[in-house]
Amino acid sequence: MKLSIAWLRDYLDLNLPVDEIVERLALLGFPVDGVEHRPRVNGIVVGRILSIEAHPNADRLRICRIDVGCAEPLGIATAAANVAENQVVPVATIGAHVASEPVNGQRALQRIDPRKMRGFESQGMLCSAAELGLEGTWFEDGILQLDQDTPLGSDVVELFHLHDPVLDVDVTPNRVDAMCVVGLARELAAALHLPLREPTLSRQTENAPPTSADLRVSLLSADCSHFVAQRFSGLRVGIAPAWMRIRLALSGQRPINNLVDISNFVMLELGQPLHFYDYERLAGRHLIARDARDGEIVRTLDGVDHRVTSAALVIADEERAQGFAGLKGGAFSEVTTATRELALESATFVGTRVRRMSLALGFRTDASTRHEKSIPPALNALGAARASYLLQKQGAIAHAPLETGKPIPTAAAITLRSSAVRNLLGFAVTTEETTRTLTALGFRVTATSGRDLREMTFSVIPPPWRADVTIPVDVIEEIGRTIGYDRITAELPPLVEQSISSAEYVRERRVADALATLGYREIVPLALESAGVAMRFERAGLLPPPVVEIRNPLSEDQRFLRFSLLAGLLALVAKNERETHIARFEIGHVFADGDPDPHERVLVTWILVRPPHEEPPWQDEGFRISLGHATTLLRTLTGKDAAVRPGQSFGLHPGKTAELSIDERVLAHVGVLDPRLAAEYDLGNRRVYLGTIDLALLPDPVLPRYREPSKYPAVERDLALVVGRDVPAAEVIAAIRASANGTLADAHVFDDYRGGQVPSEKKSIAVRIVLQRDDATLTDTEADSYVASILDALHKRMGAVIRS
Amino acid sequence: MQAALPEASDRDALEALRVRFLGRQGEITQIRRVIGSLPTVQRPEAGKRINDVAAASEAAIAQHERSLRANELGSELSQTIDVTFPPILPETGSIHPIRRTMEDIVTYFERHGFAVVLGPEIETDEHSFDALNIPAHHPAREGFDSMYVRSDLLLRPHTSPMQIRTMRANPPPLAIVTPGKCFRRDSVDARHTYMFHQVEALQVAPGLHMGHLKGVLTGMCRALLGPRQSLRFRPSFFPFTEPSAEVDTSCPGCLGNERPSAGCRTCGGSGWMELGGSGMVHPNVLRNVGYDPDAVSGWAFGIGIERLAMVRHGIDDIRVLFENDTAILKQLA
Repeated sequence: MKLSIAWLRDYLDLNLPVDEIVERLALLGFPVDGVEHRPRVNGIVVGRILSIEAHPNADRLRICRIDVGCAEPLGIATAAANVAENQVVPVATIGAHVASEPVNGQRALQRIDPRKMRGFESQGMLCSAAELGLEGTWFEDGILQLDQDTPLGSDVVELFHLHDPVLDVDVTPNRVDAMCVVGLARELAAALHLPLREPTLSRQTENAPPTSADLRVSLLSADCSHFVAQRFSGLRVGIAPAWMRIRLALSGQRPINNLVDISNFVMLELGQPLHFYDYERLAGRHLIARDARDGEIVRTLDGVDHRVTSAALVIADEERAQGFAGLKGGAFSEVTTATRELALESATFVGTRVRRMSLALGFRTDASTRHEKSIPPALNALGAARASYLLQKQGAIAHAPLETGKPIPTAAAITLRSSAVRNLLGFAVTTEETTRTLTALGFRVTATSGRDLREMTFSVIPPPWRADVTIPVDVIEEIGRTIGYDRITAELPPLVEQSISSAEYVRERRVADALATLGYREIVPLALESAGVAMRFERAGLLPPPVVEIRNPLSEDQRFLRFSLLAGLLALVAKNERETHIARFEIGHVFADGDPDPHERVLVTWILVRPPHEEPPWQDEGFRISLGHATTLLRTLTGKDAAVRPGQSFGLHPGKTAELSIDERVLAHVGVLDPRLAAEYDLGNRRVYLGTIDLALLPDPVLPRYREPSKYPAVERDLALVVGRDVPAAEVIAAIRASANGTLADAHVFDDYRGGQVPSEKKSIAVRIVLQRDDATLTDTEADSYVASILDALHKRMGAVIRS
Repeated sequence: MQAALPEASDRDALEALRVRFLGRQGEITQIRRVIGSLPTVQRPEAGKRINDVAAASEAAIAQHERSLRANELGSELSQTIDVTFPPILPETGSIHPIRRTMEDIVTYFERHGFAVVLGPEIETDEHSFDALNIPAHHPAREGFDSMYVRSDLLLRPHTSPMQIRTMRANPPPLAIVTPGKCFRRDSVDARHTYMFHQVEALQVAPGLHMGHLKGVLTGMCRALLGPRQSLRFRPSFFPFTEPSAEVDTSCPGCLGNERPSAGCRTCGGSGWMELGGSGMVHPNVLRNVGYDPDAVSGWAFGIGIERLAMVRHGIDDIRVLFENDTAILKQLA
């Protein structure tokens, strides 16, 4: 909200530079988003127009004689049409600076020099609101009209504090009471130990008949719990006093007339929105708070007709809805220049009802932003009494207010122990500080000491406007923030003993570190997708799992949750079309829709891109590199070696994919990218490999066990075996291991040859067998007999023969 | 031999010379062989002389070999290469700056005995709001403009649901830190994305107070941004904490200056950088998870990762973090 420091001064004597006020407010919990500095106009005094004469040489100019409180009146020529004798106006004297028309929002200053106007030496200039630096279109055309009782000769800048900046203060939603000048003044007064000058109130004019004599109020909806209505008669509509109009304008509120301005003024001053009805236009002299009828039309002040449902809460008379409760008044009972009597409404509405109505209608007002935070009902009478005082100053007769609705609950006393304050804030607060701080904020405090003299017990009753304070910690916050959190001493907390596992996080971190070590770079893309991604997969002939849709997406590209991490990686590879060596990974959540709830998994997916490469169709070096990465990764993560088998995985080539398992549990897939996806993403002839792990499946890592290496030399034997083409290498090795008798130290395949002498349905694979004994040197004879038994087993098992 | 020695300019020539004189068929060896055929009286004298010659030759060859080796090392030492020729770099991987920043925060808390808890990105609104003292229709829900996938399921707008899950599953005391992705309805521009990362810390134990919060966070700031960082609390409002405070740290961009610089892009001249929200856990939240607010108290803190990563790397457009451009990934690694 806009906070005019000029206005703030009405309630406290503030002698701080603006940046200190800004700092204070921030440290009280009201950060200032912006400071609007005012033009430094000067040399402008209050004058009264004694007489007006026509200019002898100019039709459009008139010459005013102005009393500015000195012996000699000033002679000033003006072209303004609205001047009249006896007016009190701002007068810029020679040497003064006034604000010029704003250019790009910036107002320059213009110096007033003596000058001849068609032969007349003008001794200054009469000022408009714009020339004082105010929003000119919000004020009368021509010269600004000041009040008759303004002391002549006084400095206009000082009188209205025109140099004081206007702050844009951020008020948290729990502090609707501070969305007003008095609320923030009270905060500063409490923090700075300054007395607060409360605004003057007046309930009614003596001997006037009560409002209830002529007006009825009915609350037909529970969402209006309390209503103060008050009738004012004997009104004269005109312009409001200059001090009020200037305060409103500085606060961003356009002055309208003396009645409307008072309702706005009270809202900005005390935080209680009011509504004024033209009393004589209320059918049946009856105000009714009720649900709107379905299809009912409400015409608001701006002349717009709104067709509403019963979700809207309206204030009606006996004929029609006269406005939206707490949101906006209606056109039919609007205050006009013809208004002679008015009915004031100061009421309490349920905040959520106002907010939903405001959302449904698509507009907010200063009133609704306050009402939707549920203003405490005790403010109804306060707001009315302030308006009553100001209206009486304008000559109105105030009839005793009519209060309807549930009795206002009195705030319960909160019991607070001094030890609780210390225990929560971490520093001790004296009884005197506690009492003074809370009292300054409007709380009623009674302190009593028990047997332990160090322990005080406070009984604290929050002020009626502080509905947010209900429990001891709320009071402790009030004490802490007003005294200042800089009193808190930093201290390390004790270590706690607990058994909460960090395993999931540690696993994720190890995956990231391991992949980074293997040369992969981590990516973090934005994790929502358009419908286009699933469509691309479908176009490539792949069927994605059912996608999870967001019900209230902000835009089409934020409509779906990801079903796979592939799309982001592929898009990145497509984007970097000239790079032939890419290694990236992402750890992220993927989703599949389900009934009733969507299914969520945490995956790591990595992609390896290599340049085009000539090799026989049954071999793929890039795949073996990828597989090497996958097995190394699993080894790092689990401490165990994975078994490799042919497998299938979404997005991978059906014949070029391996599944890796540990302890018979499939943990990872690695393979060649499905060529249909490569084509769909236009990846060119680069080789693309992918791997993926579902992190939840990873077992806790075990540390590798130590085994003493043999001291005796190993014997290596290379065998060329002819087997069927469909026999996987891993199966041959598994068969060798199965026939092991304890001397087998290692066995691995190192070549796969097809064609030539090898029959067409067969392949020749080269296997190296390493034999070694732990207790003695293996003799050649032993080795030969062992190899023979292995060959025998392989022959029986898969028809393997030695290649001749 | 003495005459031939200087001509042996390398070690191969020297070896040839040694073989010529001292080898099996060498001249000196040959002479030694004929000594046996000499008259007995001449043998000792001849033997001594030939031994002296042999020893002198061995010594001369060894001496010459040492000088040749010294020459060789000398010439090797005198060689130079252009050490500024470009290095052959290993293919390295890297961790994304968001994870790195997140890990730096988490590591600080781990050092203080905090457990690290992860959780799902689709959450219930009970975990996201109700349990956190934000009932339905509470105006504070407006600040969390969330994306729903069911009427009661949403993409978590903060990582606080993990606090609720963890507290419900574990009795106090506890100390946890919860890193993760969060989502709020927002269009993407230089300062906003609908997805962001957060780390929250929570400690619940008997006797915790705001001084502990300040102590832990001061340490965190210093661990992340340097040992001279200071910290301040600004009162604020969060439904789940009471008292609540915004945490500011001295602006790392202005640090070392006499006064904060008015044009500073990090702090806008205030000298303070907003770090995150914090406070003492609201008694209602403690009750909602089955804790007794009279027996334990707790503090909580939450920080957005992107902004911190941006400050640390000097990035001024948040989208840079999510583009995963190769050059930038390399630059920030």
